[in-house]
Amino acid sequence: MSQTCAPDTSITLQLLGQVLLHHLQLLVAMFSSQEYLEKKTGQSGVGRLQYLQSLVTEFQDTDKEDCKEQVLANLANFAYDPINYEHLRKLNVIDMFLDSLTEENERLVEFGIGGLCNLALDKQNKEHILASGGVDLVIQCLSSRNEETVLNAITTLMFLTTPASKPAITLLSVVECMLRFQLSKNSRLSNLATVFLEDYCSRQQVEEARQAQAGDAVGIALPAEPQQT
Amino acid sequence: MAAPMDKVADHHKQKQICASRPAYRQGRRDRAVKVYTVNQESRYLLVQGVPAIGVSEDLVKRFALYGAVQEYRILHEYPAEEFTQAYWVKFDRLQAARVAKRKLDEYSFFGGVLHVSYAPEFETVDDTREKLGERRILIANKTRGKDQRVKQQPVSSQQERPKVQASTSTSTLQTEPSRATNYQEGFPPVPSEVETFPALPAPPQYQWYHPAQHQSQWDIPKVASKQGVFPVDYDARLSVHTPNRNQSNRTNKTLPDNQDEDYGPLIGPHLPSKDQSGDSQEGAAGEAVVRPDLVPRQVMAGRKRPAPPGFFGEALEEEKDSKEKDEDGDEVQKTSCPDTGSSSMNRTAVIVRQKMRQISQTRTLSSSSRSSKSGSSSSSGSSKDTTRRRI
Repeated sequence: MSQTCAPDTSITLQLLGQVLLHHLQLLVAMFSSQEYLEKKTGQSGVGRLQYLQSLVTEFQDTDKEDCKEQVLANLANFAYDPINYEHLRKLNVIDMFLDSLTEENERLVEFGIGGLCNLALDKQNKEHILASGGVDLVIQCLSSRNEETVLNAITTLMFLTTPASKPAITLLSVVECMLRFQLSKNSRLSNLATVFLEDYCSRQQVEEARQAQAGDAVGIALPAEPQQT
Repeated sequence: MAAPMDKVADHHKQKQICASRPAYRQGRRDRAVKVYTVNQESRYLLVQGVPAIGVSEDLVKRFALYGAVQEYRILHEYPAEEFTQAYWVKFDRLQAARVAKRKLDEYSFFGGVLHVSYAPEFETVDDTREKLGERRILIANKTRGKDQRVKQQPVSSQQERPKVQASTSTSTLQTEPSRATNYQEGFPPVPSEVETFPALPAPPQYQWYHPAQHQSQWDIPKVASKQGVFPVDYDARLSVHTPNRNQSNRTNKTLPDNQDEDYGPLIGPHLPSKDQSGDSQEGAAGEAVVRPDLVPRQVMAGRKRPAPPGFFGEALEEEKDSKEKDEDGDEVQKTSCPDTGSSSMNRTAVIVRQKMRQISQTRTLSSSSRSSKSGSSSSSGSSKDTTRRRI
């Protein structure tokens, strides 16, 4: 593609852009549709459910840690697209994610909470997580040393908030933790904490937490601060 | 990298590609083991590895292919490799940033390989809130069903995406409930003109070259197809004023109709005289159509360029009369005897003519022209004469 600023180049670019965008919408949509999946894998290909099934099987059967990590990350990425939710529910992948939160391997925790963060907005998934006591597990992730884990945990808590679960999610210790995060130099962390405090906690709760913090209570530990410019 | 590594955030560093995946789950592209959630994604991108040769505009143009770029900067203080720069690019929509990142990561750009990563640390609180809200609504629409749409409050000042896009996009998109949400609004609108491209010029059509259109008797004989050759006993020499026209009808695909018509040095089948219009396209089976631009291989064999019309006649006439041809260089390329096809013969003829011209300029015309009639004898004769003239 010519890089000069000739007018004909810009027209070509414009047309190219239009065509490209058009194709992009076909090929690189935010989410896949059933037709897209069929087109991609073909009639004789492995179906989505089968593929997910084989991933789950591998996760259960393998002993190698990096295989588990790879499979978990793969499933967590699948959890981004709602078209897979039915399959994931059928295969009990949500429980798999919840179980991985208690693993010692930090990467497994990171991928598990990432998967939950991707899934948690769907109503049925939400109910399943809440019924399985996921809130406590997620709150435990807030004290991880891994930045991504913490960020995903905050977001998952936000997504899991329902009128029923709100009291469990906006515990005093959690709100205190968020106040500390808000002061962090990590802008991602402070942004998320701010959104949590402003949108998901009542003023009263925030006030209570502030007062409790003034008393120098040791609640949930901050994650290790990554060096930022 | 040359710069201290601790200054670079973890999510800006490129992770190692996973090499140990079993074949059944090895994707098309090699990827690292990484999970992307709404937290990792952002409409701010960090582009590293851009060669520092003043390609800002081109880079932004490249990114703008995927969506409107609101703002971009060069991060001069960002640790970058020597001769590369880091760019900060802000998109209007998250979707555009996702696509751009996916497409332009590991892209070869002006000699450097781009490394594109999300940069959510540049978001403001409102950006983050908006991002989470969009994700929430997307999922809600996708899982709730197509008929129920969640009303989206306009968060950004983007224009409404025209509804005509819904009709022009394919079924893949029609299952996307995000169309009604703010998420896709402001996505660079795909105008409906994309579906209909400007009309292309009509394809070249076979045209019946009617003999009546034939201009000069010195036109080069033409044939019906690119693989066409003259018939075996066809005498294409234009000096012969009555070529063997009866045999000229036996081209590759010809009907033996009306072989008596005189149509000049044109080789081709006849159409019945009722079909006189020059516009008719007779590509019908069994009838070869003469292409006015196709010159048979026998003619093309010894030639570098197609001869202008009438050249054959001119060249032949020159040998009889005075030598007043123009460039010598052209002669070498243009001259050719259709029947012989021997380039050395042509070259010899050209050299002879050149020398004869030189001679004729100093000597009388008649004496030089007579000696130039024969081939080899004239060359030997002229070589003696032009020895003195050789530079």
